[in-house]
Amino acid sequence: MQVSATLSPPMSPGDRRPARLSRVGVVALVLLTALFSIGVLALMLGITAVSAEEVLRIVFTDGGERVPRIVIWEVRLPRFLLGALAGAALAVAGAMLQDALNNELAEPGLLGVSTGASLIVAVVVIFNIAVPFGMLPVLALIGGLAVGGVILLATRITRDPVRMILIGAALGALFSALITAVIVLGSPDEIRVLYSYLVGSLIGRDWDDVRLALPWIAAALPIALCFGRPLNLLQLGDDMAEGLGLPVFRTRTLIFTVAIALQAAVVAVAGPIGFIALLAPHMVRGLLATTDARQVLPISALVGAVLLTSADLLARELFSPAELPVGLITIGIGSPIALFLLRRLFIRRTA
Amino acid sequence: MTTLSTPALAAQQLGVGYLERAVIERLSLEIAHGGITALVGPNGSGKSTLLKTLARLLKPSAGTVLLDGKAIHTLSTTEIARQMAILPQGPSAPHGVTVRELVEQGRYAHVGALRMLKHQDHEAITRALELTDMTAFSHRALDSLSGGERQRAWIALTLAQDTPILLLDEPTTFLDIGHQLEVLELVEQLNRERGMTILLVLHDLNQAARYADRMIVLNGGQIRADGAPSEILTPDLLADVFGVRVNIVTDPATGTPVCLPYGVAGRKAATTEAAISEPMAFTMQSVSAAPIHA
Amino acid sequence: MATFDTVHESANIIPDVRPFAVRRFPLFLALSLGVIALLIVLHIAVGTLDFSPVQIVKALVDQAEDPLHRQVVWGLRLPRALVAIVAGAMLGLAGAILQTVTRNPLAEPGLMGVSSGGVLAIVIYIVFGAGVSADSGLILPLVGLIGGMTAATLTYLLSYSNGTDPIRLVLTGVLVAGMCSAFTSLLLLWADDYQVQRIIRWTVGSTSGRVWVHWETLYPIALIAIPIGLVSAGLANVLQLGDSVARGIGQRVELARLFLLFAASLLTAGAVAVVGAVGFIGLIGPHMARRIVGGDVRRLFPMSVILTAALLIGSDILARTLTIGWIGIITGLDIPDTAGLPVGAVTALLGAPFFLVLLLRRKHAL
Repeated sequence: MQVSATLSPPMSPGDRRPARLSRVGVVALVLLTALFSIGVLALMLGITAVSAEEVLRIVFTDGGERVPRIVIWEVRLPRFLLGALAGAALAVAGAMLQDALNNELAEPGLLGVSTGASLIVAVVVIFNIAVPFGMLPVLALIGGLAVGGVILLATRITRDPVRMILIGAALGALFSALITAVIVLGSPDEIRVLYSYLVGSLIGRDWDDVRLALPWIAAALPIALCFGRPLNLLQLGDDMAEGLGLPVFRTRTLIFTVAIALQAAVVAVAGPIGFIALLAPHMVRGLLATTDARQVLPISALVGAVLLTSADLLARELFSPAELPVGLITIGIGSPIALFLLRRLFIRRTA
Repeated sequence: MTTLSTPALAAQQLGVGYLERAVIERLSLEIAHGGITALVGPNGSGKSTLLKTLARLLKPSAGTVLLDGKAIHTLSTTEIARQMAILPQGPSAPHGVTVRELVEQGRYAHVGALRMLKHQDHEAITRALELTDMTAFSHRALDSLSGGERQRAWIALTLAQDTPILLLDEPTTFLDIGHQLEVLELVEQLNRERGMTILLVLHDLNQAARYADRMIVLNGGQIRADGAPSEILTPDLLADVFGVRVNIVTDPATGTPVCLPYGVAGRKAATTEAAISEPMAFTMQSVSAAPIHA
Repeated sequence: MATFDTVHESANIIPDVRPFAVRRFPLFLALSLGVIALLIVLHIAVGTLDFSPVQIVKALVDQAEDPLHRQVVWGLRLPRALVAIVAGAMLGLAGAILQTVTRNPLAEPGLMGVSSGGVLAIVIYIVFGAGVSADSGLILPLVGLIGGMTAATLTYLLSYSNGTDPIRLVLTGVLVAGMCSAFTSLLLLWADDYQVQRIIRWTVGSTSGRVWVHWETLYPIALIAIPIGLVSAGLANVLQLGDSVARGIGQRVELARLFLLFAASLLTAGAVAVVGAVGFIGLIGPHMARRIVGGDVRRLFPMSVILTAALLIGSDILARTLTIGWIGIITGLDIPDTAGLPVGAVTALLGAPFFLVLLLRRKHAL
C-alpha cells in the first residue's frame, strides 16, 4: 500500500499513508539499531568480559587479543547470529500463519506444528540415527508438514479461529505424548538433553548450526515476503478472498509450506522456541498501526530477531554462570501475553 | 464467442450437498445479462448454497455452472474474479483497516500478488468509492463506521473488481430498514446506470418484489417459481412454499406487489388432519434431543 | 435410570428403535462390568510367570494350591490391575465431564492443566524434596494431587471474567499446561540420572510397580470423586444445552460449571498422582461411550467410567506383553531388546490414529 500511495492522486484530507510509510522507515531504523546494540552487548558479556571497543575491533578488524577473539568468534558471534536468524524466521512464520488462518492466536507452537517437527528430532536423538549434515531440517520439515497438513484439512471443517486453535492444541498434545513415548526409551543423559531441547535453547550453538539453518532461512524469508498481498486478501475471509480471485486452498497450502519450512529450520537447530512467532507480529501491528501484511512481514522479522536475541541474552546472564534454555524465557514472558490476546479475541468474538 | 443470447450465468443439472445430505438436486437455471434477479425461499431452501455454488465457492456434486457460456471449473480463479464478484454473507475485515485499503484489495484479480497498482486500478478504486458514496470515508477505519456504511464499503470492494456480474448473499441482513433500502437503491442504480448483472439472495419478499426484475423462489433445493414478481407472487405459492396465508396487493407508489401475511397455513407436507397436531410435538422433541446428540 | 427407560417401553405404540445398549442400559452396564472382571483375570495372567486362569481365580478366592501363586497374584499383580482399573475409571469420568462442560469433543482430562501441574509438583518434590525413595510412600500422590488442583484453580481463575467461557477455559488450560511442562523440563536439568528415570515415568504415565500402598492412596480419592462426578450428571445434562438455555431453565450456570470442573479436576489429579500423566485415554473412552449409549449424560457418565477403565487395563495388558526390542533388531536402531513401553506410551500410540480419524471425520461435532 505504501507504493500505491505515491502513485495515487492526493485524496481527501486525512490521508495518512505517507505518514505510515515514513513510520515504517523509522521503526525499521530503530529496530536495526536495537539489534546492533544487543549484538554488541551479547558479544561483550559473559565469563570473559570484553569491552565494547574491543568487541568492535575484534569483529571488524583482525586485531584484538587471542582469547577474547576466540570466545567472540567461535562462541558468542555464532550464537548471536543464530538467535537473530531464528527470531526473524519464527516471527515471519507466525505472521504468515496468523494471516493465512485469519487467526490472531495462530502460532507454530499452539498449532502443534513445532511439536510435530520436534518429534522427528527426538526420534533421531533417542535412536541414534545417523543423519547426514543438513538433513535434520528436512526431517523436521516433514514432521511439521504432517501436522500442517492436518491443520489445512481442518480449515475445511471449521473456520472459527478458536476451534482451530483447539484442534492445534489437541494435535500438540498428541505429538507431545508421542515424544514422551519415544523419550522413555532414552538414557538419562539423552532425556536431559532432549528436555532442554524441547523447551528451545541456544546453549552451545556454533557455526555448524548457523550453516545448517542459514540456507533455509535465506531461501524461505524472501519468498515469505512475496506473500504480502495474498495474505491481505486472506484476512478478509475465505469466501471473499476466493471471490476476489485468490485460489484460497492452494495459496494457503503454499503459505503453510513456506512458514513451516522457516519454523522447521529453527526447530532443527534450536528446538521449538515458543511465542516469538505469536508476539512479534502483534507488536508490529501495534507499532505500525496497520494489518497490511506487506509492511508487517519485514518488520516482524526485525522484531523477532530483537526479541529472541535479547531473550537469549537474558537466559545467559540471569543466573550466570548457569545458562537457561531461552525457550523458558520466551514461555515465561509469552504465556501471560498470550492470555491477554486470548482475552481480547474473546471480547471481539462476542462483540 | 459471447453473444447477447449467451446467459451471463447458468446452472445445468446442478447438485450440491453437505456431507451426505443433498441441498440442491438437478437444478437448472439461466441468468441473462443485465437484470436484477432475487433468490428467495424459506430457511434451508438452498438459496445461499445455490449462490455460493454459482460463485464457485462450493463445489457441485453434479452438473456444471457456466459463466458466460464457459464451464466455471475450467476457468482459473483469477479469470472468474474478473467476470464475477461476490459479496458473501457477514464478511469480516481485520482490525483497523481503512475503507480505501479494503477496496484496494478488490484489484487482486487484475494485479496479482506482486505487481503494483497502476493508473487504471486507482481509477477503478476511486470509481467504486464514488459509486457507493464512500469517497469521504476513504481513510476512515472500517470498524468506526455504521452498519450501512460498512456494507457500502464491502460493496465498493466488489465494485473495484470491475466485473459485469455481481452476486450478493443477503446484503441487507443485520441492517435497519433505512440502511437496507440504501443498499438496495445502490444495487438498482448499479444495474440501471452501469448495466451490471446482479443476482442477490434476499430474505424480505416485498423488497425482492420491489427491486428485482425477476424472482426465483426456491424450496427444498428446487425452483418452485421463476419470473417477474407481479406474475409469480400468488397466495397459493406463498402458502405452499412458506406456509403462510397472505393477501397480495399492489403498492400504489411503485406498482410492485406487496404481501400482507395474516396467518399460518398448513405446510404442504402437513395437509392431512392427523398431521396437523404433529409439527408442534415434533419441534419440541427435536429441540430437546438435538443438543444432547450434538 | 430404570424409570427413564421403562417409560418408553410401556408406550408400546411407538416401536423403540434405540440401540440395545440404550434400551437395556442397566443390563448392558452389568455385562460391561463382567468384561472388566475378565480383563482383570487376563491382566493377572500375563507376565513373566505364567498362570492359568483357573489358578488365578483360585488364588483370588484364597484357594491357591501354591503359596507362590497367592503371593504373586495378591502381592504384585492384583494391586496393579486394580490401580489401572480405577485410574482409568477416574480419567474416563473426568474426560466425559470436561467434554460435556466445554461442549468440545476434543477435551481431555489434561486440559485444565491438571496433569502437567500434578507432574510438575511431583518433579519438584523428587528433585528438591527429600532424597528418600518416596515412590512407594503416600507423599508423592499427595503432592501430585495438590499440584494438579493448584493448576486447575489457576486455569479457572485466569479464564474467569464474568463467568467462564468453556472454550476460553480450554485455551487457558493449554497455556497453563505449557508453562508447567516448561518448568518440568528445566528441573530435569538439575536432576541426577536416577531421578530422571523416575521423573520420566510420571511424565509419560505408568502402572508398573504399583502395589497396595498406591491402591490405598487411590481408592479414597476415587471413592469421593467418582460418586461426585456421577451425581453431577443432572447438572451436566442441563449445562450442555448451552448457557442461555440452561439459565432459562433455572440453573445457576457458573456454580454448576464450577462444581463439574472441580469434580473433573479432582478425578484427574487423583489418577495422575498415582499413575502419572496417562494421555488420551480420557479422550477416547468417553467418545466411544458416546457412540454406544448416546449423549444423555446419565448414561454417558457411567459408561465412560467402565469403558475407559477397560481401555486402560487393556492398554496395560498390551504394555506388559509387548516388548519392542524387535523394532531394534529389524531396523538396526539403538533399542535395548528388553525394552517395554509404559502404559502411557501405549495409550498415546493407540490414541493417535483414533484421534486423527475423529478430528477429520466428525464435521458436525466440531
